[in-house]
Amino acid sequence: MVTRLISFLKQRDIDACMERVQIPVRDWADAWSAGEKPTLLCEAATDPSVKHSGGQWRMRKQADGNSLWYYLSAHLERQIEALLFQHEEIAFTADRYGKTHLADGIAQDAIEDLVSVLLSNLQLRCSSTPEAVEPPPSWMYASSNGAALLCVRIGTEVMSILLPGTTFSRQRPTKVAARGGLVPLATALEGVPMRMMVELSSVEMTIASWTSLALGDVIQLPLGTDNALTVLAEGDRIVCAANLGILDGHRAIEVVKAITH
Amino acid sequence: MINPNEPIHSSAQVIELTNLDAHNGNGQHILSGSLDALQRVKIKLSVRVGEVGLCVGEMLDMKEEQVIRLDTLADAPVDIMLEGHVVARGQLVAVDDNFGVRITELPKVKR
Repeated sequence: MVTRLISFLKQRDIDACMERVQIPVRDWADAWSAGEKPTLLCEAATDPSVKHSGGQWRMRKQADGNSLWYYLSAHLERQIEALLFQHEEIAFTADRYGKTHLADGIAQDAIEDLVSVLLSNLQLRCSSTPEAVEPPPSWMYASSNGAALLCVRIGTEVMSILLPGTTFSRQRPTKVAARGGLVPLATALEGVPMRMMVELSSVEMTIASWTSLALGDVIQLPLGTDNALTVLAEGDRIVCAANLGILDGHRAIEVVKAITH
Repeated sequence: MINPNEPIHSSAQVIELTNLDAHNGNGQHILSGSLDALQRVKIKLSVRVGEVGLCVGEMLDMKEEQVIRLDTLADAPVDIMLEGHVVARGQLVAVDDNFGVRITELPKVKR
């Protein structure tokens, strides 16, 4: 990830923007198996003719009535197809136009999903599909406008979203909390308290035998004194076998082996 | 004399059982809490020598030959458990080559 500070975008705006989209974009890449992780760049919106030529600008309407544009480079769909299906398979199934309807549709879905993911995490409420295919007006690039380009590079191709300056002015007051990665269940449970019980043995008898017992009677258990006993977790789930002993005036166990189920 | 090995088919009739409505009963208890009728029912008792409180992380980290001190004192009686309840306590003993429990505490019998 590379960020560049520019004159009319504050670093905190860039940071906030990147913070909001880094993890969602990574999640998107995982979901679409796009292989190599996309790289992100947030930069000032300048004359698009240099970097944005030959591709397609699409426009979505925002809930507040303003419009928002995103740019898809000419070969972005092909790039995503290649990442999703591998080049060899694409070539094998390709028709004379060098693509398949299936792969084409999936790549388009992946792109629109990526746009939605980005807009959603930037708290920009927009129509879910493009409403027009047209470039943004030139005034969007005026330095006083405060607009920025959020660029996602996937492989060798780029997708950009032209963010109006109002995006940042709206977000400026709030500091976005960093989102960490997901924690495995075992890690999350590490501190959860539980009890472990040590059972010597069990014995079966009739109620008649039990009710006839008196103080001082001895019940012989079907476990040799040199045998291991059973250690159970809560819920009577057997965990391991262990030897019984004493440590510091307390009973203690020495783990012998795990008991798998 | 009727020989059970030679059933009389001519007098056999289909029995129609009465339909019963589900009901929990509202009369007297027939056993009055007595276990007399259940004397031959088998129960499974387990002997618990101790327990220890720990975290899931410690449990997952347990290794062979690791020694874990239990919360239970060495001379504390062992619990005799029935269906998760302590129904008696006793002293850990050896009977020949086996473990055994000498009963030291029993619940008071309700009269």
